[in-house]
Amino acid sequence: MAPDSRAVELLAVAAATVAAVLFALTWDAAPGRRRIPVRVAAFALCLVTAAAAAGIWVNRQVETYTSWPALFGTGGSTGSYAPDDNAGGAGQGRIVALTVHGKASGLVLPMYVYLPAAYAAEPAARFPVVEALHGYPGSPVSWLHRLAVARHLNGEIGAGRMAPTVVLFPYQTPNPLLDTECTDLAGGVRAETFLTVDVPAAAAAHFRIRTDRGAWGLIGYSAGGFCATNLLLRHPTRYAAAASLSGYADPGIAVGDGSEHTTNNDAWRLEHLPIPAAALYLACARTDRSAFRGTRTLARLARPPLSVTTAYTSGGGHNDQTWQAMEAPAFDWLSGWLDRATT
Amino acid sequence: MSLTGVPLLVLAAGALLGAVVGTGYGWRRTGRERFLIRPAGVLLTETLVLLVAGLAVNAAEGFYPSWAALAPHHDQATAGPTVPGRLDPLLRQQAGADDGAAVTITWQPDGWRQWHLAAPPVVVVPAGYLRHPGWRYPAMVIEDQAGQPADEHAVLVYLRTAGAQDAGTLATRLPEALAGDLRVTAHSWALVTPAAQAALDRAVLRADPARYRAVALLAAGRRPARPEMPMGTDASVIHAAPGTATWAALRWADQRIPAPLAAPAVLNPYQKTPGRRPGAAPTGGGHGTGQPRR
Repeated sequence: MAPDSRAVELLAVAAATVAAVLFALTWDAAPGRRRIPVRVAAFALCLVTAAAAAGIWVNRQVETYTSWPALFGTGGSTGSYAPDDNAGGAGQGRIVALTVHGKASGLVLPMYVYLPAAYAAEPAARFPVVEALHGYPGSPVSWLHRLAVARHLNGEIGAGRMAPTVVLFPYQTPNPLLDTECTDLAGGVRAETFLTVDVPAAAAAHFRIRTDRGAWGLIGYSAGGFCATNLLLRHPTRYAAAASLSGYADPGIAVGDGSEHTTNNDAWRLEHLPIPAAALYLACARTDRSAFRGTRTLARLARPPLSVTTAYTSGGGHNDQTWQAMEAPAFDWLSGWLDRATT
Repeated sequence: MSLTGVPLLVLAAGALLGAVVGTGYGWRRTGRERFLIRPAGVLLTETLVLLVAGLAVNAAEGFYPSWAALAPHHDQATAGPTVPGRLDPLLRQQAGADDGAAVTITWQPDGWRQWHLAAPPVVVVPAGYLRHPGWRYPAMVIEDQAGQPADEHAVLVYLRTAGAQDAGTLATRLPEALAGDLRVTAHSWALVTPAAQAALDRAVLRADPARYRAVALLAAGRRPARPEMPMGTDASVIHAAPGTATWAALRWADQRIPAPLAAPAVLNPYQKTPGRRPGAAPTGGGHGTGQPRR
């Protein structure tokens, strides 16, 4: 029973309800001066259980703490998602997990990997790769659970709109409450190095994938959308294309060296640095004010040889439903820009 | 009343205040009803506290900007429209009964005589082109090479030049004509030319950076130095004996193009159920891939 499970959420709501009832019933129960500590304790229990229920609900929405060790800081950010290594029926890909021991970054973090059905069916093939980045707060489990990414990928590949592709879901921070925005924080966590050096190296060591730039892409939502754009612009020799869903033009954090205003600011990069030859897909809801503003800024500043495609939806917002609606078109678009699988 | 507006927040805060006052008033009741009123008051107050906090956060961050955004979204992908190529019927006629095989035709698009060619281009569509009428294929343009083999994943255009070429033909005129006649993608093609034509290839790549991702330069004699190409282009000089050069170039380029794919799913307007569009939610404007918008 993980902290992001429905059972824990219901348990927390039940506990908050019981605490409220206890608070009401014990108000007059204790005699004399003992009333005060009883009332204080019951009131505190009410507050704690209500806050816990709210916190668990929020955690379920963002899938930040997906295991008890992660919540209590005893087991890193290891997720609770249980990949089914034996899954993968006809036309169905499967999710596997591995731990990335990052030599370049020094980070040791888990990663989930989607292997398309063709991966097993074509044992000599090497596949294109997409790195999928999550939002903040969040974890790769959000992609797997709330965005149902495997279902979308199976559907798009099955429909011939997307080529069989290996999709990586790495963690982006060792501390769920540390927002790295996929950058190398000055004197701190080297998330960018982890994602652009260690993750590709681990993927190449474990899976039959293409390692050349033309077969590598990025996708991300919210903060992960910024990550995808930023890593594409910063590493055009590693990635050929990126898709940003409700992403931003700047990281919104202090990187520690001021680069959030310059080299880690995509609007600044497009204005001041040479433009890389790559392809970028920017999607967001028009009602998502911040992401819409960022998307419009990037689209306005982009110029050849960077190719930019924009896609807007008039409803939605900055939430899972909107990203679920954007997933399939974005993965299809990415696949159209990445080199095919080879044998 | 807007989900992110002040009126709703004020209403919720007012309800919270009412719940606090009402709970306090009901707390004094001494009858059996207090066992119902007190827990109900506490739970209502707690719920409203969380509601007010949630509304305030949502108003600040815009997670759910409207009531419609709260509704479950229909997330089934919708296939994008497929536009058949004008030559598809001719290809089908040419293929006859064997519609699964590669088909070779002489292609005479409008204006080809101004392309400085010795003969009309020859187009070879891959095996399966006719059996997948919804797919779009990357293209490879091959200049002045012997033989016209097919490729498994791309539409091939063989050109035999006569005289000086200009970049506009390969960058614009030929791709536009091909896009109307066959189901080809708008980017990530491959170009195969003699090595001596590297300068023209560079001009083509600069004119339309997204069009050709890979350039194979065929050298019949001594292997020349690898020419400098714009960044993002995968270029290679292929040294092969006459007769095998085209095969070698196709084999190299074939690994540097995307797979043929059906039209991508479209980004649907936000809607509650399939096929039902709320009036205030028109389809978002997706722009076709290709050149950046400025």
